[in-house]
Amino acid sequence: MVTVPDCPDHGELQQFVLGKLPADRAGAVGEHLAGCPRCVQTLEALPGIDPLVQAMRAARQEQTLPDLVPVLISRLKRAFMGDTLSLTGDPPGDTGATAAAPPAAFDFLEPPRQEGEIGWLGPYRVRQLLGSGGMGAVFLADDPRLKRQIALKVIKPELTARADVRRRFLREAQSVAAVEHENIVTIYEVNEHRGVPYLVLPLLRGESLEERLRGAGGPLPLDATLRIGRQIAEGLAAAHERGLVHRDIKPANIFLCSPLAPAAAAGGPAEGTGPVKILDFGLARAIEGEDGGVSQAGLIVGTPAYMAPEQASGEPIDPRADLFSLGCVLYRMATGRPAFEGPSTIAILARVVTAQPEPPERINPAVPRELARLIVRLLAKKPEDRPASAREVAAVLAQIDEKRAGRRGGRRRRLFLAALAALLAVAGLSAWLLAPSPGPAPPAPGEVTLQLDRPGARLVLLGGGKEQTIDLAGSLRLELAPGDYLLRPAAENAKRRPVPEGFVVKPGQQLTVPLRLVGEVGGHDAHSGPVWAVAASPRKGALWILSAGSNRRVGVWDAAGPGKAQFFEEHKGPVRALAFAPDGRSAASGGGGPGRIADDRSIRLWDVRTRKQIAQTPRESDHASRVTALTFSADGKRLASGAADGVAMIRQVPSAGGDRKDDGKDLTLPANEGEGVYGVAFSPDGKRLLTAGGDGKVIVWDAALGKKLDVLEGHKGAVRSVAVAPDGVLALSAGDDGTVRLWDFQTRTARTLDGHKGAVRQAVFTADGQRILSAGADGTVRLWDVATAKEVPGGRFTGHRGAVHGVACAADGRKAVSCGQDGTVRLWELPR
Amino acid sequence: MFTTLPSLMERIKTDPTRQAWQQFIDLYTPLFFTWARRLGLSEHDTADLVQDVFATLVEKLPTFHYDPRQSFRAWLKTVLVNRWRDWCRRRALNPAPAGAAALAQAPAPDAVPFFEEEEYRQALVRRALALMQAEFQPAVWRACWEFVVCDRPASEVAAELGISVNSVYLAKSRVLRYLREHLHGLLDC
Repeated sequence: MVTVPDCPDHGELQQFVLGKLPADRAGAVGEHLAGCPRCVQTLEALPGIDPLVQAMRAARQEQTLPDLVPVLISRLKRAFMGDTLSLTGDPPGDTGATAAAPPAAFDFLEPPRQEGEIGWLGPYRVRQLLGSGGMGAVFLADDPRLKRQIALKVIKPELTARADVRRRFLREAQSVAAVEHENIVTIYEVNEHRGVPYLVLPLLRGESLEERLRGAGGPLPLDATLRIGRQIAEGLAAAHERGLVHRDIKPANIFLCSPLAPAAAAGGPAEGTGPVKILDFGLARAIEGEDGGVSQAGLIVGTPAYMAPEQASGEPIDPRADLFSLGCVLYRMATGRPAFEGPSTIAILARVVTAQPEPPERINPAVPRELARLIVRLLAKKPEDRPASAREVAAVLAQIDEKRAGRRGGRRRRLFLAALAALLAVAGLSAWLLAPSPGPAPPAPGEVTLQLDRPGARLVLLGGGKEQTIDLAGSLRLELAPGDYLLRPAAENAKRRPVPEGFVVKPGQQLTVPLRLVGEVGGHDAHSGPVWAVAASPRKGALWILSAGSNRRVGVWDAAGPGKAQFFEEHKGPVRALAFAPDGRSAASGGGGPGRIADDRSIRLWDVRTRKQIAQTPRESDHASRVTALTFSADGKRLASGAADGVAMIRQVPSAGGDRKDDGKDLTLPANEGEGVYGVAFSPDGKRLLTAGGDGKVIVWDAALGKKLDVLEGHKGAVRSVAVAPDGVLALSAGDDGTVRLWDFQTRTARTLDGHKGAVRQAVFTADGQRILSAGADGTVRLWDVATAKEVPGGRFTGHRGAVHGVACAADGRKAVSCGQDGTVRLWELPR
Repeated sequence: MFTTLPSLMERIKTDPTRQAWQQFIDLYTPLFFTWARRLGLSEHDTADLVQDVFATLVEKLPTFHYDPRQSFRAWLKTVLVNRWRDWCRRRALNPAPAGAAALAQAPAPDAVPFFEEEEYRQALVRRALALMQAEFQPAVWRACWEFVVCDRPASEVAAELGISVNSVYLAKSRVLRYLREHLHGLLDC
């Protein structure tokens, strides 16, 4: 055998084919091979195997990831987003550490002139270092001109070394100084001395909330929590209304003043009910800059454990970030524990972004429900799910406080009045005594009509300085004092929420508020395992819900009636697919599972009311693999099915007697071959069948001839569901890539509904085709608007524990039903 | 096409961009998840633990030094087990129901069937293949898949795809090179 001189030797060829050659050499060998058949022959004789190749061969067997893994990946990615990786740590608080002597870094001070001082800054005689932290140092100083003691906050020169940063800091501090509010620390002066910016603040006596919490070693008393929380909220409201965001609300920045006059209070009692002051307003932002993120000195702006998720992710923030931080502060006061803890800064940040803290009332059962609910709302990951304003938070805290005070004092007062009334009744004076005393004329009330469809519900109306329970069925007219009102469901409807959640009454105005109490309104957990599919009666007026369980049963539940779920009990294996016939009287089910007996792939037809089997497919015409999708044509004459082996079938539906109507032939379609058909849908005219499969494609078939007409591509990953809108122009598909795609056959365009965190298991159109419901592995059911391709406000439903596998819409479009891994079937009231 | 890629490990150590970390998360989450599940944790607790593991890795991985006596796999296993121990300790401290009991019943980490080198390699390669497909032209990918993963003769694959036999070898070489470079330091091979 003659070897051409520049042929690579066997060793090199082997290295080449295993991808082990360095870049330049690999290129040369690649080029050589193109023109050297002999070397190609040599290659064919070489084994070309190493551990890597062996590992690759193992990848041939497909392995599905647990449902939670994609969810976890997206959570982790969000947690590690932004530039947070370069964070160095939590800056120490401004309180606590007290140094005896100024470190050398305070060389911005002019030398001392006499005993008892450590230096001078401008006109101020600096006496003592009170504390230092990430941002600078606070000194006790004398103002010789006004003969008073002040606190002098000097910003670390290295943070404001750049002239533009310094100017921004001064400007920001000046705008904060313009806010006069009881709960925001007053700024006497904003200035700089030889390039060192400083703030002159009143010398506050008392302690920071951080110190108070550490001293308490557990939750604070409820009245203190409410009082402090309310004052922080009021201070924030005043600042927010002037467009200022604090950005670093945390216990170390909340100061609890002693109740006594400053002079008398030196060393006074720590337990006080003096005013609460927010410190350092806006300074964070001034140093951080407009662009957010991390300052040049590596200082984190904001404190991880109290930082809003959007802030932790480096996204733009607004006043609602402060509300999240306030929620963290309330949580700590109410429970004694931080809402988010972790072994490291990044772990805390990861939790802030992803984890739900333990409900506060579970840690401290003494936390009233209203407060717990407020805290949970404040800690919502999305700003839009938090209360709208600090003002609202202050109002709710005030309500809770008043309600408690009322409960405590009310009983005694009522008893006293009753006794007095009994005494005076004889004299006919009670009516006069118990009548309210006339006050100043109140503003003209507004007239509000609340409307809620029957059967109605009990709601709690919060506002106008009180909380009232209203029973609403149909419409109710109320005269209400002008102001903001909030609505929430009474205790028995805790899983639901009103939409809208509130309204504003203006003097003399007439207002009609149509309400809907959305959320979970029913359900069952009769299946003792995951529920794979769900279907709702297509006829208006009935609300029969079918569900396909891995417990080999089809659940039948009349959601409009009082009864429990019943079962169809003929399947020998897990049931995975369901379809209601268009007349609502019969339904089809199919499934199959591992094992000889459980591998029951027969498709069964049922009479829904009698729960009797009408027909079943004969074994010889069964799918070769488990049935994963079912649908009827609009005329009810044909039934399409899909199976895990990628084959779809169209069959004629037998009549009630079990006979076949022989007016067409059955078709077998090699749909998404080898990859599984997970969704099937007829067009409204019955001429087309759409199949969706594991190959990521949606295929359009001629339903009469079984010919492939069109392939819709775009999903990245398996497609789990497909549906056609009633107009026949739009179709949707949903898949593992977390999207629902809307295909327009007229314009041949596609839109994407993006929002689920993790795979979308099913999506359906509502009966009118105007909206879409989707079921996600993230445990949510979502409602979308077709026109805008956006989620409908108030249309996100949580409650399932684990992936939601299926969703269906009731015929009237007002209710949806879903089923999931948690073994439950849940019924939801949808927003209008 | 034939340029040397910096490995994922190198990028994380020298230039820890968000993208590098996201790739790392994509690559390792399923693996950690399987490991943690073998410790007997529920899915929910597993997710929590995996999050902790990543939080530790963010701090420690940039300073990880290759030690020829210890593989990266063994190091990861150590990190995971340590986090798990912390986690059990915290559980035991909290008066949560079944906290201490869970700790007592928890298997000793040494008894847990963690991935040994071969299983680890298979899991990592499987995941990497799933993630890197988009980096290749479909024809190259398909040729390599049929030839290497499915272990079919090169001539048969070439005939089926309508390409030359030499292109099949070239495809194998490219994909393997990419895989090797990308996973350098994460895998011993």
